[in-house]
Amino acid sequence: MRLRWIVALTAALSLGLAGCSSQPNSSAASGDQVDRTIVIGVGGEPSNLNPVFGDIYGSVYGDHWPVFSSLLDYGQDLELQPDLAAELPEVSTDGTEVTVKVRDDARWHDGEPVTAADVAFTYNAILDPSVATPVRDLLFRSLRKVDALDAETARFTLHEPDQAFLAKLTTGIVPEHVLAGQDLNKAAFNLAPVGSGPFVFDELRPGERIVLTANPDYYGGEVGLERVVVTFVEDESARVRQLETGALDVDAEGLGPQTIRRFEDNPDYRVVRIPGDLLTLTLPTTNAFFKQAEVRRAIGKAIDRQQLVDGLAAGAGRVVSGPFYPDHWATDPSVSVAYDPDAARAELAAHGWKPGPDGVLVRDGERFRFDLIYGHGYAEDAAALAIRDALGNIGIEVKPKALDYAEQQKQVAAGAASLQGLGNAYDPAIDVFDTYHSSLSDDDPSGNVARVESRRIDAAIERGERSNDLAERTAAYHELHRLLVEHGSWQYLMQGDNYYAVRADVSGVEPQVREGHVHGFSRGLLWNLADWSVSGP
Amino acid sequence: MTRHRNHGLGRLVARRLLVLPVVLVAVAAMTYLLVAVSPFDPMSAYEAGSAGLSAQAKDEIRAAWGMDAPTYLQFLHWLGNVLQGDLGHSRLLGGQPVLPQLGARLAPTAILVGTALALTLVGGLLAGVAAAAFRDSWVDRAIRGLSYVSVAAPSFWTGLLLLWVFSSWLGWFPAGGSANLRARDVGLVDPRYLVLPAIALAATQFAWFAMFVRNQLLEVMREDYVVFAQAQGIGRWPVLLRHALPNALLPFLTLAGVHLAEIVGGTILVETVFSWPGLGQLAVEAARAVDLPLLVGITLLGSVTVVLGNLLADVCYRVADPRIRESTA
Amino acid sequence: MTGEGTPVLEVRGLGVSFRTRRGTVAALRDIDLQVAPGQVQVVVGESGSGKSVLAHSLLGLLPRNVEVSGSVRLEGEDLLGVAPERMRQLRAQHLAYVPQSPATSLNPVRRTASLMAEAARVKGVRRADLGERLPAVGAAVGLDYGSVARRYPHQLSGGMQQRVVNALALLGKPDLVVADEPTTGLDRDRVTATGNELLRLADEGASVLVITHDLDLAAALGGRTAVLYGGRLVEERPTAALFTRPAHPYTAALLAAMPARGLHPIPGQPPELTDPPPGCPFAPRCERVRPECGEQVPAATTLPDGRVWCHAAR
Ligand SMILES: Nc1ncnc2c1ncn2[C@@H]1O[C@H](COP(=O)(O)OP(=O)(O)OP(=O)(O)O)[C@@H](O)[C@H]1O
Ligand SMILES: [Mg+2]
Repeated sequence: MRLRWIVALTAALSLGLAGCSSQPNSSAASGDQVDRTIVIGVGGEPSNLNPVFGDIYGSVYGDHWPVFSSLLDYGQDLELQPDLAAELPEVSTDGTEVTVKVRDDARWHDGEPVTAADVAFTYNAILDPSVATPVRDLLFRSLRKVDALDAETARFTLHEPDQAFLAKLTTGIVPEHVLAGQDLNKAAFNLAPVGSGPFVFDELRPGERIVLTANPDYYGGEVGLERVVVTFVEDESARVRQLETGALDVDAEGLGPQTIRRFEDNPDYRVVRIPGDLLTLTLPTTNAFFKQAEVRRAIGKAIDRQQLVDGLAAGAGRVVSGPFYPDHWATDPSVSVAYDPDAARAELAAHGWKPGPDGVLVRDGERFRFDLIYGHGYAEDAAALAIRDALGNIGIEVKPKALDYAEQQKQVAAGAASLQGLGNAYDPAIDVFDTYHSSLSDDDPSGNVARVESRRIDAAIERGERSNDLAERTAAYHELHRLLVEHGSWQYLMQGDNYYAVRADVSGVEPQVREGHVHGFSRGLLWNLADWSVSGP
Repeated sequence: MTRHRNHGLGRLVARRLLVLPVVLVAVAAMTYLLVAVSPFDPMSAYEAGSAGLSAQAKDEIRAAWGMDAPTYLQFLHWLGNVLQGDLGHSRLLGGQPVLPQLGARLAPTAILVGTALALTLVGGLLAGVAAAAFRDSWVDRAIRGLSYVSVAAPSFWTGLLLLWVFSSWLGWFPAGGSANLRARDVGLVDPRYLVLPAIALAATQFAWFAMFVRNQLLEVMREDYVVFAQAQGIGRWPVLLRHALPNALLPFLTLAGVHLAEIVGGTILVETVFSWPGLGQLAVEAARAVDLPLLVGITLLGSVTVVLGNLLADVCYRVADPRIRESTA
Repeated sequence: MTGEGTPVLEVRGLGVSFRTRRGTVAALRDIDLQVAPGQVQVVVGESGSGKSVLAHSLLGLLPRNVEVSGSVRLEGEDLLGVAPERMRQLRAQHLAYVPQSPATSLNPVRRTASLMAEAARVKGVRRADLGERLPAVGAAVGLDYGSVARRYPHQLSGGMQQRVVNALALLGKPDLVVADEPTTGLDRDRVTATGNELLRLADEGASVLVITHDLDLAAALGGRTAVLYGGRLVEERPTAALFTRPAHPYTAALLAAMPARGLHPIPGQPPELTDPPPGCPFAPRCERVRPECGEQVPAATTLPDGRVWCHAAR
């Protein structure tokens, strides 16, 4: 009854206000030009559009978005390929010098030519300690300096060999002639960038949209879309509504496995599936409960990974056991962790953990009970509860605790167990050292949060990084995979998929394989945006 | 007598405007203090999705933004710059100066708040008067019922309901945003996009105001001067509107400030539900990222709005009530 | 009964009770009163005896929490059941009312001129005539219209406020004037002048009902006087006769308590209206109380010049 009144009154009010409103979706109204414009919904508003400060969606990979171009780029199979570079770079035999030729036909959107000086400027800016970018620490600790040898040649000098270095040359290059002499932290460029990529930055409407237009002089050929509007819609259900009313053409933020169902049977949409993060349970060795490897492994055995896949990813996912994606060359396909709760119970009993009166394990009067730290979110809640139930089954009491990122980091550094989405689809050398090497096992929360201290693991990491030979590296990382399973402090559980909805009349959507994180632009769904086109109006 | 009155009002306005800077500095100081004790870490914005920054990297970033100094020194530094008209630079907004950025981002929120305010006042007034005039009839019961529901319903719930009915179902209004995303050369906001969020935001205060008007009117209707007006044969509506209403509304002016603040605060939720490009969401982001210049800028903007809103309400109150008007002189 | 022609106002068996949280307050019971054209009817009684409630009943101004019985007829038309719009018409065209408390009866946010002009328009004064008519009615009650016109009510003295509401009563051509203490705060000569104005209205054919504590005013007005006690009429007779030879013990006590008669207070408390005891309401305080007084409400005893409600008067 009351509901009817709300409806009636709001109807009356809005009618009065709107007069007779035309269809909001008929975008062709009043001279709006719509041909070959595509509207892409993403989650948040980027805080900086300058690639020196990282990907505009805060990715660690020094990514770029399609206003910019980079020396190298990933292809559909994540193979490195030249972009601004004329060819793949040359690496010196000792691995400390990388020389790159810049192609001679690339131009900035203001018409100036792109030169090696711009390359040197970009990377030296990242190295400049007064420039407030996390990329310097996260990617370029191995880089000493960059020199422009001539207009077309840039040389990177490294402190030490870095197997993953080429994979880091995907940072967008910025124009020296626009930025020289400026305080980069505060440059107006950061919200009104000039690049050399397939799209020209047109406009940023604060809090609402970024508008890009096709670059007619793009060295990479003709750009299919005339105009790209990227709009910031934080709320998932808001994105869904806007998709369904036709305001959006693409959801590039990712929709949950439940949400995506409504698009699956809809002929107006195509659902794009890309493998996502690895769900990972971290059991730091500094935590009194997780001191012994046997106990950590027992916890791993108590979790039915296939059941997680069925429950959390609606069956559309993969069981994993190690840090690399299942079909990655670094993954040893022969390794797996069997679900065996009885063995887990027996192992724990051997370490003095016996069921108490309420079924919870007790040793010397202490109950086996720990907090499980994880990030806020519906899917995250479900995962944490699944772990709680699995471990409850063998008598371990788990208290899930959703926290903000900063607080998570703090607690994890202090030894709390945590549940996270992780994963590396690229060269393992990018992050295995940071994550598992004993030299980083200290109170600093960056690096090796689980406090893995194993000589054999260190050795496998170092072998994998030092070698140039793929077979040797593969062997090293397979070894690392086995050793990590043995160590048990990192329980890699499953890989779910990320789902995206794209209007069916958009063509050219060929997602990259094995894309873990939601990276915004240069990987996964949108990596080849310049090749997309819209068939109908 | 007229000169006398203006003198009193002028003094009131002058006094408040003189106090305003003090209030603002206090608010800024409070914000710095709150942030200093808050659990949010400015580095988390740099670390999102990464394995964590090294201590050295954090130090470099802090130093680049002057965040390495103790909070009170940061505050004094900020204050010094403010005296030169510089509110600082925002890390969240590409390191751009806060003041012009806020200026650019203020308009959509201001339009939303202004429209919601107008809707609340007009709608609440009409509903309240109607409920009082037809007391205990179905009109009154309907308006009261609606008010209870909208008081109980959080604004995001109202917002979602509006979206469901008028956007998804009837298709009369767009599903969010402030203008057609495909359109070129869009103005500040498109009125069609404004309707639903403005109603959702107004709904948060509408119920309160409608019930206030109704109950206040019914109370005032018992006052001797209203009874006397009736006794002279003045019609029902003139009695209600010309005798009862002005007196019923007087106390509202003393409360208007509080409710203006609530509307301003309510924008955070409504802007999220309707993907409205405004300051509400930005304020939350600024707090999370500990972007002090931006956070303080937004807070000060809110404070100025509320202080000036209160001042306006007080001035109206004094102009509207001859008894108070005189005593201020 | 009063013999001065058909009554303009005819009150029969009027009972008014208020539903309050502490019970039902029987403010008026069994009131029978008729006022003929040209007649002045004075009503006296202690504070709380129901005088103002009577005035409100005549104008249809009773609040919502009320139960009314009996009838009130104006020129034969029943006022208790009349439609709101008709009541409004009657108030505008046939009734005039002076409220008991002018200080709270004038809208605080309106200027005197605006209040008076609005009332005048309702009472049928043409806009063009306002400039002449408002100063005229002001002058009739001793109000310098020019000096109060731009003022707000709170800027007027109590006496000035009283004169404003008095002036409003003179605006139309009322058939019935109800004046609730119209001389509060007025100087002696203004009281006399006000009395004369009321008499003039009666001379012009109106029925005039005046509630007052002022015995001199009552005497000057003459006509008939009704005495209320605890919501009941106890005596109703020509003013002069009632003042000189009161028939009811309460009337006698009331007169003795007036300042002019030596201020002899009536012992005891006025009656409780929430739970009235049976019998004559004055019985607990009456010097001439009889056994039946505590049991039965006395019926009206018709005297040659009026009525009295007293067992002792039989
Ligand atoms: N709205 C009301 N609700 C409840 N009781 C009321 C109401 N109005 C009047 N009364 C009660 O009715 C009784 C008569 O009140 P009334 O105002 O008529 O007294 P009065 O004779 O005019 O007194 P005074 O000389 O002080 O003006 C009082 O007991 C009063 O409390
Ligand atoms: Mg009275």
